[in-house]
Amino acid sequence: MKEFLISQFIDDELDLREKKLFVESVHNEEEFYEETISSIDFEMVMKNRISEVQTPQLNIPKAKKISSYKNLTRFTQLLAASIIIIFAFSMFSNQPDTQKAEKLVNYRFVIYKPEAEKVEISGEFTNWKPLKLKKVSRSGYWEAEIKLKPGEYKYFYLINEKKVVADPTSIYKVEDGFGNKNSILKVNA
Amino acid sequence: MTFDKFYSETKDGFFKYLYYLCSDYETASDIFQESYFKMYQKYQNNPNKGLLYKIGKNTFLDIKRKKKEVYVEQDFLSSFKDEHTNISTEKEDDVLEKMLSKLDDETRHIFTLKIINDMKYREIAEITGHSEANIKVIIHRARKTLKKHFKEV
Repeated sequence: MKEFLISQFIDDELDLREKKLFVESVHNEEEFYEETISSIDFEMVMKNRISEVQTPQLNIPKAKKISSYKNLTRFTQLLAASIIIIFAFSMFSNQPDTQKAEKLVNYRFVIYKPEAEKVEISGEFTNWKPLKLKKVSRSGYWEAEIKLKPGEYKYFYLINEKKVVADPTSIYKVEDGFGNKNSILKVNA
Repeated sequence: MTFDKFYSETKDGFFKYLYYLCSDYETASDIFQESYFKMYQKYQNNPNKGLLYKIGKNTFLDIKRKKKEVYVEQDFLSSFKDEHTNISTEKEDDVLEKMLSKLDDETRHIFTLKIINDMKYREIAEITGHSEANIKVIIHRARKTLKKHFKEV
């Protein structure tokens, strides 16, 4: 009767009382201990011998989606949920969509000209009309903030309404055909 | 549970079980297909694992019975072409398969469920119709028998 415990132990089928009996037996009886160890060894050998067999493929028909009342309600729930999601998504995505067309980026132009009396900026974004820059207190900096659509623009600074200067902070420059240099600004979306 | 889900969850374990029950890939495949077919016909909306194994085992017994009827005939045929039959016997080098074949059908059925599919005694009892206590004894005896055979080999 007691030797069933070994098999039960291997199969994880012992209840608490049986566990106690099992541990006691292993502890007290040399023979029982030997038997348990050899049984476990044998189990390992057998488990190792289980060969991997390839399961044949069967064509199982896919279950019909709306076959019962339960499934129907589930289906309508899903439908309602997806409608709400689609609706919410379209509301949400519509807004930035209209903004996207006119999406403007605030770009701050800054130049250091402490000796200048007037600094203007002129570029493709102003249709080459000069736009005055504001003096930043007495620091010698001039600045202007212009809203720009994403794209590439040529521009230059005009100092005291005479001197054309490319933006010293920008490395991209191009000849303007009149002996001066224009800077190129790239505004990313 | 939908039938296709039931199939994908049970197929590997069930096929292994059949493979060791029949010890022949082709027969196992046939039974495999037939069992799912029967299951689909009658219990499409309510598939049941225990029933699947029952169907599998009964189909196996049916096939075995039929084979017995032609067994003599096959033996008679094989006496004519000895060289050819050698090839098919060479393939069977599965030690576990050989050991399991030492057990009688019912014990092998139960023990396969345990060692291959790692089922609980309770599950095996449900499938086979034996009591849990009985399963405990059968599995233990099966282990003892196999161990004895293994030592002899």
